[in-house]
Order: sequence, then C-alpha cells, then structure tokens
Amino acid sequence: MPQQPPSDKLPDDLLLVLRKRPEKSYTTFGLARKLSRPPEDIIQALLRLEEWGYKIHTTRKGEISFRSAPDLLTATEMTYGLKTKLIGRRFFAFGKVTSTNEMAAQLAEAGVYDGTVVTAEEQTHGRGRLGRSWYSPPGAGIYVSIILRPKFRAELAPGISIMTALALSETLNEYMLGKVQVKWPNDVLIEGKKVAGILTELSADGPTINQLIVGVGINVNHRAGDFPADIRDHATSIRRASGRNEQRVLLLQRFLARFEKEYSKYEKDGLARSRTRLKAYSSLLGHDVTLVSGTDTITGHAVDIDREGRLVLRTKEGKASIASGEVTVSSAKPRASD
Amino acid sequence: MFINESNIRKLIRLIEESDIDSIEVSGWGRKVKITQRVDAASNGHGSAPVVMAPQATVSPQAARSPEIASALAPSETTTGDTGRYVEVTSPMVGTFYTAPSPEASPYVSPNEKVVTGQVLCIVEAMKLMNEIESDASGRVVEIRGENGKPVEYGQVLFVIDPEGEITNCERDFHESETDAG
Repeated sequence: MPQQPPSDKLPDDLLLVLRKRPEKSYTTFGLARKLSRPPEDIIQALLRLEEWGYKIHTTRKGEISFRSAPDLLTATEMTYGLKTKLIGRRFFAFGKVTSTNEMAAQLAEAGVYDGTVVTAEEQTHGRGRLGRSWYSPPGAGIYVSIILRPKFRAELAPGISIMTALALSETLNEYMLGKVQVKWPNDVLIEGKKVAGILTELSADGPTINQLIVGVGINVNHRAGDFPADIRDHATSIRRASGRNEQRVLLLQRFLARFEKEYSKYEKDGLARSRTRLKAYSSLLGHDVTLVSGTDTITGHAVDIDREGRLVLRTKEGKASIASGEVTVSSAKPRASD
Repeated sequence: MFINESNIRKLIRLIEESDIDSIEVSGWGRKVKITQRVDAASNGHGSAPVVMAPQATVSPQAARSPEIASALAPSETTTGDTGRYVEVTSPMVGTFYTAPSPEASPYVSPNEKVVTGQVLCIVEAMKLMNEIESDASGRVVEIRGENGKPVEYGQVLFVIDPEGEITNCERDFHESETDAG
C-alpha cells in the first residue's frame, strides 16, 4: 500500500504549515484555527507524524515547532521540495515490493500518468537484466522506477538507458567530484565498483511506445558488510566511498530533477547535446575491450560513443558500432557487471 | 480486480473451459468484456487444414535445429498462400533473446498458439529490454531471429499464421477502456 495517509490529509497539511516557517512556534489552538479542525485532531495528527519519524519540538508551555523529517521515501517527503514539472509529480511510495519495475508496469497498465514515479523501501525480487537480481535491502538504498510515455518512436528508446546513466552520474558527481564513471552503456561506477544499476523496459506497439519504465537501484547507505560476499568486491555504495550517510530523499529529488532536464533534451535532440559529457564519464574510451553480445564476442579499442549512444570500437576489421553487449576492459581481470 | 494482461488471459481460459458466453469485469477504472461464441463455419470443417510456411522461408540456422525442423516436418501440405501471415518485426536494432533469462524456457516455440499481445521475445539494446508482443492471435509458423544474435530495425522476427489457431470456437475479444484518472 502507498505510505500515504489514506483519507485524512491533516498530517500533511500540518507538516506544510510547520515546515514553511520552522523557526516559528505554534500553539495547538493556533494550528487548530489555522487548519479549521478541532484541537484534538491536531494532537492526533502530531502523534501520527511522530510515529512516522518526524521530530516535532514541544516546549514546556506547549508551543510546537518543526525539527526534522525522517529520511523515508514517502510521497509526502519526496514531493516536498521537489523541483520538477513532470517527473515525480505523481508519486507512489511502497514499503516492500517484489520490484519497483513490476509495480510500475502494473500501474502503467492501469493508465497512470506520464512521469509517475514508484519507489520502495525494500525489493524482494529486485531485477537486473536477463533475470539477474539487484540486492535491495530495506532502508539503505533507493529503488525507483519512472514511468514515461514519450512521443518518440520505439527505435529511439534505447538511448534512454544511456541518458539515465548520465543523469545519475551527474547527480552522484555532486557528492563525490571526479570519482564517478559510467561503464557503457549504463553501469554507474565509483572507483571502478558498481554503485547503481539501471534496467529500462519498453512496451511498444510496433513503433509506438506505450510506456517506458526506467528502473534505477542506487546503493546509498550500505556499509561494506551489508553486501553479500559474492558481490562485495565489485559493488559499492555512496557511503562506502564518502564515509558518511547521505539523505536518500534529497539524493532522489536531485536525481529526478537532473533526469527531467536530460529527458527534455533527449526528446528534442536525442543524445546529440550529451555526447561530450557521456564521453567524459566513460570508463571504456581509450581502452582495449572485449565485448560479449549475446553469443558473439568482439575485441577492439574503444574510441567513441556515437550520436545514437553506440559504443564505437576500432577492430582489426575496421570500425564497429555496438548497440548491445557486455563489455570488459581486456587488460583488467574480467568480472561480472553485477 | 486488477485488469492486466495475465488476468485477462486467465479470464479467457476460464471462459473457454465453461459454458459462459460472456463475462464483464471492471476494476481500477478499466473495464474488460470477453465474449465467446461457437463458430459454425469452423465446426463444419472438422479439423481445420494446417497450412505451413513454404520451406524456402526457413532460414538455414532454423532448419539445422532439430526441434524446429521436426516442427516444420508436415510442411508437405504447403499451399504457398502466405499473404495472410502476420510478420512481427523488430522495432529497433539490438540483440534478440528468446527467453527472459538464460536459464528460463523460451517465451514461445514453433507451432505454438499465441494471442495478440502475448510476449514473443526480447530485443535488447543498450540495456533497454523490449518485450516484443504478438500482433496477432494464431500459430507461430516460424521464428526467424536467432537467440543471442543481433537483429536489425524492421527485421522479421516471427511469422504468425492468424488462422492457424485450430479451435472450434472463435473468440471475440473486446477491451473497452476508460481513463483511470
């Protein structure tokens, strides 16, 4: 169930009042008058807020003021201070789900709006590509899916994976300047270890896109020991790299704002205006790489990312533009991407 | 009830196994009505003739696979009438996958019956997974894509025979939708 108050929006309204001027103290009666509700309701709502983890300060005289909000990906927290026009204006926050992409697909089938965002505190079956899993323990990470209903044709959809990796890299770069890289097409790395995974799923009717679901898993506050042994060596979190806890709500809001900016560029010009930045973040360019695409293997020197987002390899047979596959740097020890 | 593809399929199965001729379900602002009627014409035929794809259209790779070869074995009855076949093409450049994961069984096999909207395969490009759905109800005549190999934009992946569904009832499938908002 969405973690939103079912029918009574009083706690939300109360929060808005208290937050607008956190330096100000209010009396129960003052708030009751302001919100046209009996004082008992105000007291009940304040208790609810405290249950959800909001810190409300009460003086001995009974004056009330706002202290802090919990770092929970609730609809209330996520939409408060969100600086987007489309992405995340409709928000579904779940506690535990199988996977946010799966929830998003069901919501999309039910007809939710373009830009709807689905989050969860925990995924029991966090999915990666081709049946792989994404480790998704409660509270530590961000598990989010964005539902898009673009007007462009289905053949232009794959670039969205790359665009998402760029938006995410730029967001993470604010937290740890210069340490973020993208392993083509969309593995986001910090110091060579995977910090975020992206799974984009398209539903189209021939060339017409029904919906595009962009699923993102970000390791935020995981400690080294939080990762299962088999992925510990090649997975990391923002906390592991920076040494401190980060606010997930703020991080996700920043990401959604970046995403919206990149998406509107993409709708107009594809990746044309992002190529320079894409190349700057790439962990592959300038390296000899091995690419496994389905059942084919190609080796070559990674020289470029083209306007369609394809990786350009210089091989013995000439240049090859690659649209899909798993890449490893040949000189380094090969390892699984997730 | 949540109206999604799998629930609609469940409803169709339910109605097929029963004497009910119409069922209407609504939920989440959507409504679906499924009706079934016995088709006199196809009853008259007894078993409908099986029309196979002409051998020439089978790709060499497909012919090598014993599974596909045996599925195409009765193709002596070929009529050459392929105009009614529906071709499912790739909407983008990418890699063709017959199953959701390497361990999973393929979405469909040759000769299998499929319904409109059923997922036939995945085409992946730059880690975007595109579940390709069938444009028609019918029988899978041919799978032209090869698992794990690249496909081009517009390349034919599947050939579906819309009349290949050998059943003595014909389904009327209406889906009327109202916006959930």
